[in-house]
Amino acid sequence: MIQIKNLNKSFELYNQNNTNINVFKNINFKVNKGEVVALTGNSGTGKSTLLKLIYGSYIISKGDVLISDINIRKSTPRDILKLRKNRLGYVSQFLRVVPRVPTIEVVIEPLLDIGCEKNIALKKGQEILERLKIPKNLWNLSPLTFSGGEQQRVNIARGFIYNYPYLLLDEPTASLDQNNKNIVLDLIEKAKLNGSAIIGIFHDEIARNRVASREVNLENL
Amino acid sequence: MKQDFLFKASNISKYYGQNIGCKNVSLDINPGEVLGIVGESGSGKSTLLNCIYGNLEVDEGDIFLNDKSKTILNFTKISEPKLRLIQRSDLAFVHQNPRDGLRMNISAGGNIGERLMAIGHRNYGEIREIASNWLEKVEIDVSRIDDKPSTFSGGMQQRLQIARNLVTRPRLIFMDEPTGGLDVSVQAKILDLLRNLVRELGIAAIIVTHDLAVVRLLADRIIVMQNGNVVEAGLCDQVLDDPQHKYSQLLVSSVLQV
Repeated sequence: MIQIKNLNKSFELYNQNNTNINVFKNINFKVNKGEVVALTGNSGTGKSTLLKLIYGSYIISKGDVLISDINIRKSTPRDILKLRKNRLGYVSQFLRVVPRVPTIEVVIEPLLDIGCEKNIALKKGQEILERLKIPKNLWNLSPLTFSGGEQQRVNIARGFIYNYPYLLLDEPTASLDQNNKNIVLDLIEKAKLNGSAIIGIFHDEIARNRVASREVNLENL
Repeated sequence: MKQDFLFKASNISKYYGQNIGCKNVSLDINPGEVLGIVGESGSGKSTLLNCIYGNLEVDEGDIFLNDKSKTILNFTKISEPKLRLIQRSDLAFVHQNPRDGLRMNISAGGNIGERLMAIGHRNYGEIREIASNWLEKVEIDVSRIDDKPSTFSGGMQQRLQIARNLVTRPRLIFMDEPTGGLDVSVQAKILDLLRNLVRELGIAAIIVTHDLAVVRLLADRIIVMQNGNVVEAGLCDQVLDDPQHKYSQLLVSSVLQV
């Protein structure tokens, strides 16, 4: 279960006239196993910020994020790295990879990180790339040369190659056409059935209605 | 002291007369971890790196290595020859300027082979084969194996230096701006090579750089230095995406998109 308790986030910008930006206050909700919670609210209400707080990329100002028995605010960097490796996945809108590394290697990296054998990892990598309709002749090229939609699907392949029990999705279908969108939504539904607890941002209402168990609107909290 | 760490430095201070090189810096590394040290030039990054590697004598503090036999060695207490031996076997140092890390008047193959011989390799054919493999890995044409590094470009020299340092499979590599003088596509290849070595061989690395894009791709954790002091330390993406200290914020915001 993911639990968000009285979560507050503000940014203190020292070099910009010491501006203090309050993003949100006292957010509370829970996500159980097998649930997809969709974050909603206008742009600027802190949806992506909330995902980054849960993932440990942002520092929690006040309150707690609990992932199973792990309190993110009290975790050391090493604890968080271990959690990310084994249990907590994150699919962002942006692909950040070492240049020149082939797509297939990028995709299987999470499996290699947990000690999976390379042959098995490669097989799973091929399966998910096929499923996401990335043409075979691109697998050995760096994804940095790909189109936006292809890059996003590489990101998704990386996020779904391993069954993370906790998964954060930041607009996973944003730049995809209808066919590819459906394939990705299928993957999300499958992860949900497998018992993953998922928090996602879906701007596309149809996509959101299809996979979300509940919505949490950050404006009404 | 916990026994699972690989390397630890506690309360390291180094003064140059009245000036602070680095002050009261502590860090620790586990096997397979990559630690980035960032800051602008003059912030004490290189001083710190040279201190903890044992190149520079520290004024205060202790440096511990958990060696291959699980014995904890304190660099400030062991003899000079013992330290040199450790530096050749367990550690490696990649200099910013390849000329500081290469023997310029022996061949490229010799530069790599010398390190192998130092750890006991004797078979000439085998040494040459390993050297060829490493030249390939760092994308230097194997036909250049008998050429001296003085005939190489700066980028090739840097790649050779990395090969020379990694060939003995050290457990911890110290790197001072390792990709600084390289063009972007070669940097990428080196970064990829380093990441694979870290994962496959469990090599740990401490990388000093002012290039935040490099640390983002390589480091698990980073420390930010200013005027010889550590002003912030933490998870790599946290420090880059939500820096807490005024100076870290300035450093991150002065970069065009990392």
